[in-house]
Amino acid sequence: VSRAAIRRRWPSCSAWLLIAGLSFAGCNPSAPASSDAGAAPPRAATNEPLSGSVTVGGSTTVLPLSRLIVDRFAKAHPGVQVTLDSAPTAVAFSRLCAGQLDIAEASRPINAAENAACVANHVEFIELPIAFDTLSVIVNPRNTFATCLTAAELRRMWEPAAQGRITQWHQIRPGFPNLPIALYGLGGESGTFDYFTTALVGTGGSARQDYTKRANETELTDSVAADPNALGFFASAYYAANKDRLKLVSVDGGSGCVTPSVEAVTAERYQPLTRPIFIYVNRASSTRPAVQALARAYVSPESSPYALQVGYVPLPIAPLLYIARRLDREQTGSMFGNRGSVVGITADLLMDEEKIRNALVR
Amino acid sequence: VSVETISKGTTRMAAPSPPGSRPQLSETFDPRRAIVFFGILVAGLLFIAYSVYSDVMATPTEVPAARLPPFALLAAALVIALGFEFVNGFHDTANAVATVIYTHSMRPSIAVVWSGVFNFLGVLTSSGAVAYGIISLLPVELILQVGSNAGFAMVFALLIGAIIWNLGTWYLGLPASSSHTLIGSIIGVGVANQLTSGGDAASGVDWAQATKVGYSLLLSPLIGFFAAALLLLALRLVARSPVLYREPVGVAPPPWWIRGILILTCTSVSFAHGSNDGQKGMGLIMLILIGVVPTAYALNRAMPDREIQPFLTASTYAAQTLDRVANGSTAADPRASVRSYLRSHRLEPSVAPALAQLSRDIRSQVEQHGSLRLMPAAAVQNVRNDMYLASEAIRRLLNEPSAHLSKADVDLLKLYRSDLDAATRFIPIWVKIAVAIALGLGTMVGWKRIVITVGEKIGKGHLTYAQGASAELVAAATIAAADVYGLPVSTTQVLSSGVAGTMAASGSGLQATTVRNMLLAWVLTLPAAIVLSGTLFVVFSRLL
Repeated sequence: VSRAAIRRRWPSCSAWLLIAGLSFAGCNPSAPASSDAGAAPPRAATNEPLSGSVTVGGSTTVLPLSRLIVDRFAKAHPGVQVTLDSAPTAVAFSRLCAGQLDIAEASRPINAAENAACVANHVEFIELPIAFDTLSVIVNPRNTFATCLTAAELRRMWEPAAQGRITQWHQIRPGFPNLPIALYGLGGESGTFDYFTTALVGTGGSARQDYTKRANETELTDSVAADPNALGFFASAYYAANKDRLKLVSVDGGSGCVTPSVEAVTAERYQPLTRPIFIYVNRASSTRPAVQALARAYVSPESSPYALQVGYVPLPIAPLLYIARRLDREQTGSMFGNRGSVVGITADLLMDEEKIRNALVR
Repeated sequence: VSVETISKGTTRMAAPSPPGSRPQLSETFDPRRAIVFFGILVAGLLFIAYSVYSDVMATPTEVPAARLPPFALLAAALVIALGFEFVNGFHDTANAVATVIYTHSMRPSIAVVWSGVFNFLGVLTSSGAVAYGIISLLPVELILQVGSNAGFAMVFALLIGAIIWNLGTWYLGLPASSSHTLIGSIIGVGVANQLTSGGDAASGVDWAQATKVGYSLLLSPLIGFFAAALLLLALRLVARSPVLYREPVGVAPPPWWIRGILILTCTSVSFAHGSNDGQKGMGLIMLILIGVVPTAYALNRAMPDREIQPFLTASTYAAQTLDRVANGSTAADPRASVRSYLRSHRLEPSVAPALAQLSRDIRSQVEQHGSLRLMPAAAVQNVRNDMYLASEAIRRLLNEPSAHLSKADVDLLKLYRSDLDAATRFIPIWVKIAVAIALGLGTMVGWKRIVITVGEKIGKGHLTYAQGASAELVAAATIAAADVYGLPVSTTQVLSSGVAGTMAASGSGLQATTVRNMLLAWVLTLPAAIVLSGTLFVVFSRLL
């Protein structure tokens, strides 16, 4: 919890105490972020079957991966009732911070306003990056010219200044035909949209408004597949599921055209569109064995094949084990300083929070 | 200016002070100061005794009487280890204070207390991360049985050997490198162990360290001499005030900015000394504690239980990775294979499977007890040794191109290794405090001999403000550069050569006898320390 967050908590806690006169438990601002050494017995793996319910909700980006992980979990633990539903990342954070979710899925880190809501409601969370998405830029298969676009060209297409002015493909590159550009995208609550605009325009959510908004990835796929002049973008899992209906565009982030792949992520070359995707575990819920076990499944190396299967890039084993320790240590708060979308996060950085902090200061 | 040779150190102290601006080095005995000094000393010793006692009493054991370690042995070993730090303190004080004193930037009595305090703080704020680095240089079989007679012979030999050489050079007023002394002592023990244990030629000596000392012998004097000389010449172009380049008048302090530079560099040299040399002392003290009271110190009993599960997971994947590296080969005796790898540095096919087996053994031991703090006395020493072997072997393995490790493998093994080190390479806070007190107090006594050499006996003229500042600035900058680029340089040698460089640059000339003796001491430090500690090791091995 940031210093600002702690300051916010004091008055709200004391006010709550004064007015309600109820138990102080649950809003103790001086509670340590982690339990004392040796205070608790080791969390032994018990053989008792898990029970109870777990509410998982959030990002459509994470959803395809969640489905596989939750399915396997549900088969292994028939006594646990898991609800899984989807919503844009921004909605997932507001539900998490309202205490309505045990596990929120997110396609970008939490931002300051969302974190403030969590602080106000005394909801603490454990942030767990679970895989990399190679955010995919897609066009209609009949588009023969747009095989690789530079970051600058994508920016020229999507920036607020493009509104009403950049309407033809040949305005993007002289060699392109004189055809209208039909841009499709998700709404402003989408973490994918926020990341894309942060990475290419520079500010999260800052983009032209005259593109065609689509409610979800399925609609977006349909629109791009139907419109020969279309260009859109979404998480790589949705391209992987619709490869035959869409054409993937390579992206030149400054060092040549790169097609998204596991190798490109490992070599840190598919930039700026490689991004981590997350789950956020409600810390209070995480003490429930069923929630703890499901959260662990997301950061277990055994789930890595699922990430590959749906079209994401699993985290290498060392970063994954390192991140899983956030659960053991009940490490709360965002390692990205409540900045929302952060560009340029690599697997190596995920093992070194100090480096991330230093990078953010700059 | 006196021209007597350094070897007549004792008579020099009694010689009348040169006239003019010589600082007032001998002050009248102040009982209050002595009371404070001994007060801190006694409080420190009581604190150590109390800390060891409570650590020991907190260990689980079936027989309460079995808790009691051989206290006399422990006390003797700790006193010698802290004595080593104490001697190191006054041996190296001159690096920080000589220029400050001779430029009258601070009064001598204030300067040494100031330096002592910053040495103290340097030790306290050090991470302890490199404390165990010094231990990896010792023969692995002695580290594994540090509680045996041979183990104690090793610890006592290297500490006493280093103390003798440091005291000797100090007595003669020679600024020799105490780091080189310690490295020499370590090599000496290694060589002696190799000779007495019958022949295994490559056993237990890290000659790379000797090479580093060799480089330092070449680099440090050159860097110190020329950098300080150039700095002085550059200063002349910028600051033209003649006061800076003349002998100070009386005890007048330098202009504020020169004084500021000197006090600042004195502070940072003291702080860095505390941080670097303090950590070496911590490592050696831990070695003693592990040897005498393994139940309390062999494993980090303060490690939270919530770190155990992640450790087990990392062990599992590390063993899998090592199995993959092993590629089907096997190891008949895993511990023997790993030990032999650490001695010979030859990567046999049996090393990877041996390491995999070792990781699994460690894992099952830790899993069985569920916590380091609940580990029974009988298991502690073995688990620690397995962890130490695994960590050291993985460290080597990571640098073997023939192991064909992928980046993911390297990251995973590094993570596993840092877990092993978290369990075995820890420094209780009281050890830090004890070393900080020893080094801090040491800095405040006995500093005169070497300070006089550096301040008066290297050059023919009195140290000017500009000379003092140039030499100290170069010394402080070298420490920083050595930290960043890993240069093998000795602060002591850089500073002394720096003073010489400024003397040469300003044309006042050098005292050939001092320079010759100093160079001789620098060259002799490594072989002398090797012979001293090697001989002591043989003697102690026979006696114990």
